[in-house]
Amino acid sequence: MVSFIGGESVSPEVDVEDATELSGVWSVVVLNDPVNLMSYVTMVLKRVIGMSQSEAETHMMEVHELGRSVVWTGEREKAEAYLYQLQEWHLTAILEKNEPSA
Amino acid sequence: MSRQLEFRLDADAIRPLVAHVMNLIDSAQDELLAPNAPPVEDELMSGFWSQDLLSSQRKDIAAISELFDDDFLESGKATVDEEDVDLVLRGCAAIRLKIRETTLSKFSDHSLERGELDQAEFGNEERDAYGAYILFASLQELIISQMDP
Repeated sequence: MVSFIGGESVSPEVDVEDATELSGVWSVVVLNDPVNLMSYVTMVLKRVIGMSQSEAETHMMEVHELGRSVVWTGEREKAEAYLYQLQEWHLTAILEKNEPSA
Repeated sequence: MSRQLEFRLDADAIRPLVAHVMNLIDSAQDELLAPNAPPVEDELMSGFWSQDLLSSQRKDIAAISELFDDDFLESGKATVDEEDVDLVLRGCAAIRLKIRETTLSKFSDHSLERGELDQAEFGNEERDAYGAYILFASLQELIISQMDP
């Protein structure tokens, strides 16, 4: 629970909303692109996410055949770090928030 | 001791391809080449994100410029040091993205991905662009096969 006692011109609602918005579990998703080579995508997944060769190949094939693959899930901060590195390697990648199932 | 990868190409055959790429490089300094968006809506943070990526991309492209410098165009011989491998691999990807979105934009993803292009229909510029597109893919394959652990 987050609560504020006293204080003058703070904006607790905004901070709480932001924190809530960014909390939870996030997925790093690699999207297919027609340019990057399969061997290159595999190598990048090994280098950035730390996958084994066979794991990286499985995800690479998923990207190739299904158009997307969730390559990592976890907290927002680390997801952003992975996303940045994947984009730095010129892969197309996005973050998605995992909504709790009803 | 740091490893090096040396390769030799026919400089006369490669020269027009490199010339085509160098023309594209100039216009690739100020735009991100992969179709990515920052993960945040905040304008300031998005700006930082994109600027950092752009700065990284410029280094990648600079590595390609250095690789295919005047010495290479004279001798056909180029060397990639182990510590520059990442830059060169990323630079190849960036340039292939740029070629795809410019000179080869009229071709479908499917035909490019499968190499099903009728090269008889190419103009000079498209021929050079496609040659460079294949050259940089081959260079990536070579580096990955030799240096990826």
